[in-house]
Amino acid sequence: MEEQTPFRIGFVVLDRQIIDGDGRPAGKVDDVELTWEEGGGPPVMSALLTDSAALGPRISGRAGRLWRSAMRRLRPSVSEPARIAVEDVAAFSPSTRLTTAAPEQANLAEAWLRDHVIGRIPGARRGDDAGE
Amino acid sequence: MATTLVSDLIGRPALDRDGRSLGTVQDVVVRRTREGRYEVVGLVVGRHTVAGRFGYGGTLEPPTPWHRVLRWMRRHERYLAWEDIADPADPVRARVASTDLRAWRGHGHGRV
Repeated sequence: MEEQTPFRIGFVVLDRQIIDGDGRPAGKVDDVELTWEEGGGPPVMSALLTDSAALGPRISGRAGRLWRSAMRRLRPSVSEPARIAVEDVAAFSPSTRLTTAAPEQANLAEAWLRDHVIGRIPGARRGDDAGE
Repeated sequence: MATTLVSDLIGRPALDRDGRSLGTVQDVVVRRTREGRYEVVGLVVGRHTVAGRFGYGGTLEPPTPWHRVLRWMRRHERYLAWEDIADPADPVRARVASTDLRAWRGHGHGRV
């Protein structure tokens, strides 16, 4: 495997679409986890964080605290954002393509909207796509 | 084994070896190694991230007129190699002088 050209995480990874191993959209990359491995040296990318809960720390000040609070109230059973190991990423460009299925947690916000908002609109369940 | 988030690094103030401000951390630069790991090779420091809000960069090249405008807006950005960082904590402390840092130009690959 050859070394690749360096790239900026903000340009190539953050806020980019994630496509899972089945070719289905699985949210966007909201944050990236870096790990310092034992023995020193520079940190390495260890995981991608996705779902709306990961956005909180990226929003500064009162708005960020408000967002985190709203996330805790909307889904008290899930306090952490979905985590995708970097080893499951096939490529970052032009979108982040995974070799595996997306974690269930990655689509929680969409599922909540489907069940509580979209699904209640008259005629919403008559479409060809059942939203599954 | 310690972990941190990119969102924690971005926005941290950065100082050169003499304590002069380099602005704040604007971005993190990584490179895929032969072993398949994505290793951090440096930081981009500067005054603001306004130019980054337009979505151009990486694989998405801006149209010709925007290329010059965005390059001008990013003229303050400097590339701080990881080996030149004395302490990545808050604030980030470099072991080199601000005058030793070169402008960020896609790490020598000509991109804005």
